[in-house]
Amino acid sequence: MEALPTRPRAPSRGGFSRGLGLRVVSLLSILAAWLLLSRLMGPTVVPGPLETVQFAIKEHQSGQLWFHIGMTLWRVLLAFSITMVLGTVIGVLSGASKTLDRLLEAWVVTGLAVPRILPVVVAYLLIGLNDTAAIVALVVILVPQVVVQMREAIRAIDPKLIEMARALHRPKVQIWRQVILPQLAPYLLGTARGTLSLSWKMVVFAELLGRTSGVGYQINFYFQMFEMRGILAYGLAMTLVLATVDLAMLYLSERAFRWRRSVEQVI
Amino acid sequence: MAGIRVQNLHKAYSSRQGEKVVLGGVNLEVRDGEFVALLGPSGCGKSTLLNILSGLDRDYRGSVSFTGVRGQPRIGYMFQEARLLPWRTVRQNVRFALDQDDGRVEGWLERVGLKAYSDFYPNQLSVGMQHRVALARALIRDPAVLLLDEPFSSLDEITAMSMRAEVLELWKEQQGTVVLVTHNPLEAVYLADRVLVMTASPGRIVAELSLSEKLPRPRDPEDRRLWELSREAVHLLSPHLSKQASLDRATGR
Repeated sequence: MEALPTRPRAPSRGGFSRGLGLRVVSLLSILAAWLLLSRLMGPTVVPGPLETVQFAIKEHQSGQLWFHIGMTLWRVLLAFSITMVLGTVIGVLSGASKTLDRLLEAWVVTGLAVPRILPVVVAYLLIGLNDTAAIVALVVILVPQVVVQMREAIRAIDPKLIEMARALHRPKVQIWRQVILPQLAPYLLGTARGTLSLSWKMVVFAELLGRTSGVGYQINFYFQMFEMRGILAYGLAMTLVLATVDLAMLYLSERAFRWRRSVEQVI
Repeated sequence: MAGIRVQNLHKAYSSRQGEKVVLGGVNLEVRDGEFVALLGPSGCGKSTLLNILSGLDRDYRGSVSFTGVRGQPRIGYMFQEARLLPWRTVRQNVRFALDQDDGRVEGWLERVGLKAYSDFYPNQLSVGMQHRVALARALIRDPAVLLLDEPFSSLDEITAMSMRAEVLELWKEQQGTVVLVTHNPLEAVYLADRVLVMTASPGRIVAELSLSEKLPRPRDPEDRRLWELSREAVHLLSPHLSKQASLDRATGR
C-alpha cells in the first residue's frame, strides 16, 4: 500500500519567487563578466555598463532610442503573431492528418535546413526593400519550427482522457477547453517563447540588411561610425525589453503548470 | 432509473487481416437497480460492450435500448485507470462531470473521504485516492446506469477491497443500475446480483450465475460461500476456455 501523506499540505504555489537569490547571482555574473572584459580591452573597444547606459540615456533624450525600439518591437510582434497563428493551424492540422503531414514534409524539412538569412535576402530582392518583404521573410523562417512543435503537441494528446470525457457525456466545448487545450498549452507556451526570441534576433538581421529604422538599422549605423557605445546601447536596451517579455512568459507558464510534479521533487 | 436491454448485438473491427468479430450475438437484460457483473477472459469484448452501452461506440449491429427512461440515460463511467485531469485539482476533477456547479462537490468529496485533499492535484495523491476521486466523479452525475470497466484491477488488493466496499455502500444509497466488467471471479460474486460469463472469439454470454438468493446482502468479503460461488463461476467458464484453447492449438495460434 502506498504511503499516504499524513497531513494534507496545500499544493505548492509560485515556484517563480523561489530561488530568487540564485537568479540575482546569475544576473550579477553577467555584469561582472562585462566589466572585466571592458577593463581588459579598454573602454573604447568594449565600453563598460556605465558608459553604455550613459549613451543610451543620451539617445533617449534625443527621442531616437524609443522610436527605433518601437519600430523593431512592432515588426517582432507582427512576425510573431502571424507565425504563431499560421504555424499552430498548420501544425495542428498536420498532426491530425497523416496525408497533410506527408505533403508538407519536404517544405518543413527545407524550411528548417535553409540558412536563416537566405529568405530575408530573397524577399528583399523579390518584393523590395520594405516591411512587407521583411515580415514575409521572417514568417517563412519562423513557421517551420512552430509547425513541428505543434504537430508533436497534437500527437501527445492522451486519447484516454478524451474518451473519459465523452463517456461522461461532456459537451464538445468543455472537452476542448478543459481536456485538449491544457495538453496543448505547454507546447504552445514553449513554442511561443522560442519563436519570440528567434524572431527578435532575425528582425535585427532584416533591419540591418534593408530597413531604414529599427534597432538593427541603428546598430548598422553605429557600426559604420565605429561607435561601440551605440551598438551596445541599442543591443542592451532591446535585450532588456525582450528579457522582460520573456520573464513574463516564464512567470505565466510556471503559474499555469504548477500542477506538474517538478523534476526536483521526483529526483 | 433505467434497465438495459441488449438484443443480438454484433460488433466487428475490420483490420488488414480481415474482419475480426468481437461480439457475436450478445443478449443481455439488466433490471432497473440491478448490479450485474460481466466475467470473462481478456479479449472477450467486455469493454467493447461497455463502450456500446455508454454511447461511445455507435458502430454495431443489433439493438441496445434502455427501459424506464426516455432516450439515453445518464451514464457514470469508471475505467481501469483513474483518468483524472492532472491540471485540475481534486475538486475541479469531480466538478468536471457536472454541467453546472450545484454545490454538491464538497459533499461527494466528504463521502469518498477526500475532503481534506480537495485542493490537491491528482499527482499528489496515491493511486487508491485517485480512484476514489474517479468514483466521486462518476457518481456525482446521479447516473441511472453506472458502468465499471475493471476499476479495481490496477489497485493493490487491500485498496481494492476497501474500494469495493465503498462502491457497494454508495450503490445501496443511489439505487442505480450497475454493469461491472471484471476478470476476477471473486470480485464478481462479491459485488453482483448476477454474474454473466462471457467467452471470447466471438464474445458472447454463455452462462449465468444468479446470486441474489444464494448470497443475501450485506455480504462479508470473508464469507466461505464467496469462494465456492467464485469457483462455480470459473467452472461455468472453463469448458469454453478449454474449447477455446484446443481451437487455438488446432489453428496454430
